[in-house]
Amino acid sequence: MKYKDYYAIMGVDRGASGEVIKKAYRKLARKYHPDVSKETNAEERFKEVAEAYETLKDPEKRAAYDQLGRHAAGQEFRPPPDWGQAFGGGSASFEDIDLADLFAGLTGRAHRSGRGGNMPTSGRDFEAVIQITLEQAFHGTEIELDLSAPEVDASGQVRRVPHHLKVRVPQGVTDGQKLRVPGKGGKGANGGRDGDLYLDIQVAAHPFFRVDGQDLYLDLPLTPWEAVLGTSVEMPTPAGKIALKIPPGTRAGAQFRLAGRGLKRTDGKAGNLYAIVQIAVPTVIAESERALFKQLAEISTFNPRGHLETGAGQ
Amino acid sequence: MMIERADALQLDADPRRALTFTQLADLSGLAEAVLRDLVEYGAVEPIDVSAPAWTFTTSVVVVARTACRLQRDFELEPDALAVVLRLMGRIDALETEVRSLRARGTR
Repeated sequence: MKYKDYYAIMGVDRGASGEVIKKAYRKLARKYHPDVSKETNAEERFKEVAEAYETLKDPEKRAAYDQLGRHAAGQEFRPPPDWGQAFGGGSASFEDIDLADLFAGLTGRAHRSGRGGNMPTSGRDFEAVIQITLEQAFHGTEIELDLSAPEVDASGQVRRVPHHLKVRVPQGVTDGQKLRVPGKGGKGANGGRDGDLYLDIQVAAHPFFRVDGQDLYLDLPLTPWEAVLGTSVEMPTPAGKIALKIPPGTRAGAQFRLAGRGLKRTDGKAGNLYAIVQIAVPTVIAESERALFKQLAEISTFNPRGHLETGAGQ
Repeated sequence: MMIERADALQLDADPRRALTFTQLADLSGLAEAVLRDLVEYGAVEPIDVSAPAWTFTTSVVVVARTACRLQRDFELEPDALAVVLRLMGRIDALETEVRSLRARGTR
């Protein structure tokens, strides 16, 4: 088991009072709480802080922690031989658990041996961040998860139990959405229900589709002559390529709405796909092309800046 | 090792999958008294606040779980919690609008 220096994590002395520890915790929580923080690694930092505080705020657990002795952070160690007896038993093996599991087990034993008795207790909820592609979000997908969770067995020993889980993600999930997988969290105790697994969905940015809820947006470049004359272009959709008819005289910024070709929801409704026209101009042209553009410039009477001239000088 | 299979459920506004007050308290980890206060302060919205027994769409689970975490980690009273949730809701709405405007604009 690796040692964690809870005092260093909290930034307090080993002799700090409960009040000092509480103050340090509040300061760190304001800075790193994942619900309110924009700091990088906020979640990871807050987990460490919350774990340290959970033990140090409770005099009984803090005494048990202090009895583990002083070690360097990250150093492999074993609790002293008499530690288990002094603090209400211990895990059969300290190899497959971490410090947080050890102290969580301590709480479990305290509850079973009196306070709280055999009250049904719900299992803990688990959370996992899942990164998927836009195509996976569009079609729905199946993801595989390896979870490792501390469980307290009938004899009160804590051990980490690995779970290999295949989870079906429905079509149409969006970035930032949370999904619930019922009953796949920690095991309930004394007849309490099992916890749930919550998936925090992150949809990776797509090279050309932008997502707005169930709607998708795509920039569609056209040549000046395609925009003027009209054409039919092949364009991608999440379900595959389609032909889009471009009418003559299409302007930059024009939007074509392809109804129902956005992301689908489980209730069957689907968002739209919008193609936004951009007029692309060639930067390198052949002499023959230049000649044709010059000829066009000479004969064309089109003035796109007419409206600017009417108010000139005012 | 055994492979378990499971379905991930959307947390959405579908009233057919509505939760009872007790179910929401259980799923979120909030004490019933705190959840009742949050409903009364308007921070957690039932489908029909005037109904004799409140029911909730599953989309509310996310807010209620956030409330539970904030209460536990900052030791907040329900009134302060309701203010924090309301402000977080406004930030969420603004961030969604920014994302939406960015998606609609050309790059």
